Amino acid sequence: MNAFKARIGLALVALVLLVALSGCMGTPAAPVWSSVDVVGSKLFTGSQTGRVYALDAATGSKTWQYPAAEEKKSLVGTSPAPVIVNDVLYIGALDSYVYALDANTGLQRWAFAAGGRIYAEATVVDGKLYAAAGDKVFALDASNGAQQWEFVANQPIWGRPAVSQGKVYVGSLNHKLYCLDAATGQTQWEHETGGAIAGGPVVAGGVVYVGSFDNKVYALDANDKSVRREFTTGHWVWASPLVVSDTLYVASLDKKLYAFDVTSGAPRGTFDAKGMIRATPTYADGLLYVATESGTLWVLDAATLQAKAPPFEAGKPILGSAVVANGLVYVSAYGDTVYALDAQTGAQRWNVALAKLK
Amino acid sequence: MSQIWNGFLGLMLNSLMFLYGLLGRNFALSIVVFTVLVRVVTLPFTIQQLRSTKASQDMQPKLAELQKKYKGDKEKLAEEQMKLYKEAGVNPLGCLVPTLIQFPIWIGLYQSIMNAAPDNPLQLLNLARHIYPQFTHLVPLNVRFLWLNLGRAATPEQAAQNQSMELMMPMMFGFITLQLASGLGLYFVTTNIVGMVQQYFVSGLGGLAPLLRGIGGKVPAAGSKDKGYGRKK
Repeated sequence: MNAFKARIGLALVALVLLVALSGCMGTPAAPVWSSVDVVGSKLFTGSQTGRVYALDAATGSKTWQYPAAEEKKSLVGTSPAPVIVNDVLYIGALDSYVYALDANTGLQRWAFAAGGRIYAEATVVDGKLYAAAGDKVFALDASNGAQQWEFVANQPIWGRPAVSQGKVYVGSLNHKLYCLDAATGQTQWEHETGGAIAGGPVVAGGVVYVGSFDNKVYALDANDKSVRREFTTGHWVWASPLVVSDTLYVASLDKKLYAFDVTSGAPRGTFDAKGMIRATPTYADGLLYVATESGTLWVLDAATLQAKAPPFEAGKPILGSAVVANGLVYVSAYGDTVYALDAQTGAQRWNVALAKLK
Repeated sequence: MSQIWNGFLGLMLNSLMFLYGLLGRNFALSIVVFTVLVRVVTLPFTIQQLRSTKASQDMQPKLAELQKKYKGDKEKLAEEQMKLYKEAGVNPLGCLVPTLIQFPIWIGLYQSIMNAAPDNPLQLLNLARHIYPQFTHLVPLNVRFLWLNLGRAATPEQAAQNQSMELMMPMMFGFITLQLASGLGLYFVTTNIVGMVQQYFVSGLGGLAPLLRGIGGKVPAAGSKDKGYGRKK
């Protein structure tokens, strides 16, 4: 009996040690993909290794990195694309912090402890930064990171908040799309879809569009949440819908890109991308850039959805959206390789493996 | 080869998702039912494996005698051991084949549960690759909780040898499970409970008998190991 008591005692001690050890070590890093943004002559990108880079957009040479190469600090991983406003770069990371960096030097302006992993791009409007972290949305003063309000959804938020007309729209894996007051964070309305919402909503012409894992895109009145229309695909819709003029483009994990008439909802065409499309397509000068999980970047005519150039094969999944600037299209493939291609022909100009940058 | 494995994994994962939809979207319940079903399907192999292990254990005293008798003659010892195995009708590698057959099923079961409850965007994308179109509306969400190991060594001899392991394994698995999806913890618990029940019916209580006697259970004396520790044959 004494031996039994001793074993129970040992087991309890082990349990306490276990919990303590777990608390010290925290949660292991989750795999992410990196995404890029280009402002002027600089390209900015996060990385799977938890560093933020600024590169020369013309050559791919490094301008700065944060944290600096000699620092041991890492942001664990940065999935969202950096957002640059007024020479300040904002990015959230898997270490649960939102960082504001000087876009010219890479020096840290401020950091905000959000208390949850950040997978979505931040949105900056009128000096206010809206960021989703864990199951919360925060509104921060973009100049100093001071918190103004927070909203809790009780399930993770992985999509970028959309801000329009004093309202913040955000979807959660709990299937719901929320409309919040941008000034106070108070819920104005919520709408439940038939599946998880992993991507960010977009607002155009007084209508909020959001994709769901019930294979649909919902078009809701931005004011009263009445359902204007539903667009159905063959699989989950993770990418944010894209509205260009009177056409709604919907990328689905069924490997297809759909085009619909925004007003009538009538289908205008589909394109078989031959790979799951997670990233939101990018529109520029009548062309659509569609990246797939199988590692292909397509250049399509936005009106006809016909390929305009031979597809570019990165060989690794492209999960973040392409960015078009300076006559080039930039994408980051899984594994932190950034490619710059001719925006018209898709011909490669340069590529850089971030891990090899010095 | 990877296509075959992906197909097998997809089959298991979608079976789990089918149960999830069937059982009122209760992921915990669907993991328990799925694990039990897989254990039932593999039952013939498990019984064969346990019987073989038990037979080998029962021969241990005779093997020990042989080792003592032919201490300096390895060739003769091997010859006598093979003779003993042959007389008892026991294949010394008898437990290996059923284990090898079950191994990919266990791995598939484990991976399907792991894939079905994604914890980050990349895992969710991986689930999207495997899930059948008719189940795309089903996505269990991940929650974490603490799990303790319920496994135990089969015989008193092994228990003595693995005393330190008994303490370390719950710690190790508990720690691992804290970092993983809650569904995996539930799988560990379910599969161990089913495994314990199966082992009881084949081998009896084994090394648990002294422990149960110590806390007041009506268990036959340790010396009655030939009677299977309380289970009537």
